[in-house]
This record gives sequence, C-alpha cells and structure tokens, in this order.
Amino acid sequence: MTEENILGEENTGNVKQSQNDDAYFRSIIENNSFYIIKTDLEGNYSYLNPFFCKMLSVTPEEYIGKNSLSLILSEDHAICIETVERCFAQPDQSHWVMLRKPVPNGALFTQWEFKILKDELGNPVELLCIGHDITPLILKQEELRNMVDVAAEQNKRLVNFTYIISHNIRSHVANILGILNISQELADHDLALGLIQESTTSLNEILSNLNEIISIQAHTSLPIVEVNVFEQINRIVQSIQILLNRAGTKIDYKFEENQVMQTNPAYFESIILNLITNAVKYKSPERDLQITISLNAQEQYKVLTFQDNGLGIDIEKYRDQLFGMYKTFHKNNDSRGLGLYITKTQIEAMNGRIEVESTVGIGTTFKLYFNQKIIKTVTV
Amino acid sequence: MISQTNPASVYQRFIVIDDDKINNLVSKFVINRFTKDVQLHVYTDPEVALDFIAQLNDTSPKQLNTLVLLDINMPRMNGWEFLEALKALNLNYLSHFHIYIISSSIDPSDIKKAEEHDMVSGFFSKPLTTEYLSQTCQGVSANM
Repeated sequence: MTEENILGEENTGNVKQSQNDDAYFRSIIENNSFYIIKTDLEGNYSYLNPFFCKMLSVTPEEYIGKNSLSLILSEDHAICIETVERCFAQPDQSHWVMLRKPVPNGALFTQWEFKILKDELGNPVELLCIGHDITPLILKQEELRNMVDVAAEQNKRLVNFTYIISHNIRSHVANILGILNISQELADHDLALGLIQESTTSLNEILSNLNEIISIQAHTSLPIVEVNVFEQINRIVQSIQILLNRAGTKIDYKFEENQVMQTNPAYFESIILNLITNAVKYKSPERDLQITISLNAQEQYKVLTFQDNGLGIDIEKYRDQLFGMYKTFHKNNDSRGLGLYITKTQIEAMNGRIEVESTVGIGTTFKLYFNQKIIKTVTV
Repeated sequence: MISQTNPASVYQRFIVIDDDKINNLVSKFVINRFTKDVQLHVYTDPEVALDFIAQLNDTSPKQLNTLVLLDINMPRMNGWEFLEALKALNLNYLSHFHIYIISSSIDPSDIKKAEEHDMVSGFFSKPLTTEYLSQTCQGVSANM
C-alpha cells in the first residue's frame, strides 16, 4: 500500500484510521533492523529505506536510479542476478539469497527475500527486497568453525600422543617379556637381570616424561606476568656459563635491554634453556658457537628470533618430525627426543607458536611467537 | 601347522635391523632357538645394514633365502625410509628376501602401511617369538 492510496481515500470517516495506518506502515518500513529496498525491472534502485542508508553509509539521492549491483560485492553479483531471474520465473513466490555488501571497514553479510510487485493487471512493475544483517551470525559461525578445527587438531594430536606413548611403553614391556622368554638360554642370569633393570628404568623414565607433558597440557590458568627479556635470558645464560664456555659460545642480543613481554616465567625459562642447550648440543665442530637473539613485535605477538651457526638440519625432510616426540636427528647419545616437543607444547599452552628454518652446515633459526593478548588456555 | 618337518630350513640368512639393543639380543636368541647354523646379522643402524645388503654378492651359485626383521621407529632413518632406500638399490637378489616389520607400534596407520607395502610380507608385534618365525616360513619354498 502506498502513501497516495492511503491519503486519497474518499471516505472521510476513515481518514483518522488511514493516518494511523500510514504512521503504522511508515514505522514498519523505517524500522531499525530490516533493510527494505525496491528496484525497477532493470535492477535500478527506486526506494531505499533509512536503515539501509544508515548501515551502508549512503543517501537515497546518490543511489536512486543507480544499479543495485553497485552496492553488492562483485563476488556475489552472479548469485544476485540468478535470484532475480528466479523471481521472474516464479513471480508468485519469494526468493531467498545471501549477499555481501561493501562497507567502509569490510563487508556486511545480509540475508534477503526478493519478490516481484505487480500492477492491477498482473504485470511485474518492481522488485521488492527485504533483508537483514546476519554478520554477527556469520562471525559466530566462523568462530565456531575455528573452534571445531582447534578441537579436531587437538584430538589428532592426542591420538598421536597415545600411539607414541603406547609404543614407547610397549617397546620396554616387550623387551622385558623377551628377556624372560630367552632367560633359559641366557646362561648369564646377572645379564638378564641387568637388562630387565635397564628396561624398567626406561619405562619409569617414560612415565615421568608423560607426567611432565601432561602437567603442561593440563594447566587451565597459567600465571602470565611481564618480564624483562634481556634479564631473563641473561640469568639463564649465567646458570649454564660453564657449558657455554666449553663450546666457545658468543651470544649477541639484538634488542634493547629494557624490552619486556607478557609470558609465563617458568615456561619462558624452560623454552630458552632448551634452545640454548640444543644449540650447544648440535654445534658445528668446525667453529665456535654463535647465537644471535632478536626481538620484534608482530600483530599480537612478541617474536623472539633465536639463530645459531650449528650443524643445521634438513628442514624439507624433517619439518613435520622436528617437534615430534622421541624424534632425534643427529648421532648424539644424549638426545632424548623430547626437548623441542616440550618447547612446542609450552609455547602453544601460552597461545603462541614456534617456527623453524635451517640449512645443513649453516645453522638453525627458531622463531618464538609469544602471544601478548590475554591468554585463555584450552585444557587438553 | 606341522606339515613342514623342519620349517626353519627355508631361510639360510637372517638380518635384524633395530636400534633397540635389548630387543636385538632377544631376537638373536629366539632365532637361535628356532634354527641353528644360519647366517645371522644384527644391525642397530639401518644405513649400515643397507651397505651390507648392497655389497652382498649376487653371483654366488646359490641364492640365500633371507628373512629380514625390520623395526619402524628408528632415529635418522626409519623402517619405511630404509625400504625406500633398499628399493632404490634395485638389487636382483631381493626376490630371495622376505621382509617382516617387527614393532611395538599399535598405530593402525603403521599396521596398514605394513600390510599394503609391496616389499613387506607381514607385521609382528614385539617381542619376537618362534611362533612368529614359523609363520614366516609358510609358503616359502626351501630352495636348498
């Protein structure tokens, strides 16, 4: 019903009623939650309601007569045109479509109902489009999808973790069973007992490793405080000075001594200690160890870059395994294959991440992303 | 099961590849219990085992039926990588090699991979037993 119809009513007794109707309908189309627009049969705007203008920061003066595709993201033009075609094919029905609208700081997700308006003779005259904003819904949906991804990833890690732990427990149990099986032939019973002792000790060690890892992953609320990066690292370096001197280590700090970051001090210490001792363990025999540490801000992270000139590792081959459990890559007997796994677990427990680049014979660079946002820890 | 009078006789050579020394000792004793007077080679480093296999002389008049017991989880070169490297050597006497995976893994993907791998005849859970060794002999002609 248009304004002219209402005001043109001959019956004066109905004028008051009509004015009420007018106010009523006006309040509907000037509402604050629905977009109402009309276009002519060519798709040019013939009406824009105030809410639509407000949300898209446009005025009717600018857009009446303009093609309605101009206020739709180009990716959605095809689906919009297709919907209009369906309107003409089935003019008695409403047709639904989701369209993205350009706004100054991105895009709005909007859900629309299109319907053909006809004149008295039943000929199509205009297209009425009623829509509403579903951006918060879409954002929630994305958030939900991310959470599902995180959960799936954690589940995958957990299953993998179970396999690894079970493999390592089983391998020692298998050894004990095996030794008991051959003990008749094994004339030297002290040897058999010694081997069983060795397997039992390894088994015990695996169980304490397991406890260590679970305690990292089980932390629901990690105390996060501001620490001075240089002071923290320097304190760790002092504590292993003898080890570092033996490797002829030189450490360069490429950041100001007053730099701070938000982190859990215990994890920070464990991570730094592990990276430094790794660098010593895998130093090149051909040169003194040189470690360069720098610090940068990037998005919500403080990025600590830890570079050494050690043996390096074939990163293309081992990237997936480097942070895995019980993975060792060099002919070192003191490798437990647990250090980088724990480092990764710790930094991820603080909602950060670790990246690595390496070249055999040149050295290795670790990038540690410490999240500076308020940290929520997900319990595994 | 007892159709073969001396099932042990089908293999003249055993190669055990596992970084776990205790497990190797167990395998050695179990193999000795199963069959005497065979060549037995035990390696903790798959790369050394690979060198050994590569230098075997394939011109000897009699090909030796060989049972390989291969672990999966080893540092630097795992069982699967070992098989890749072995395949790449393109040795014509590999047809006399029967390769079994012996592992503590319960990861279904490892077991599935062993079943599907064209170079692998089977998968055994540690520790090695004489029953396992009997099973490896089924369907292998003695070749003596």
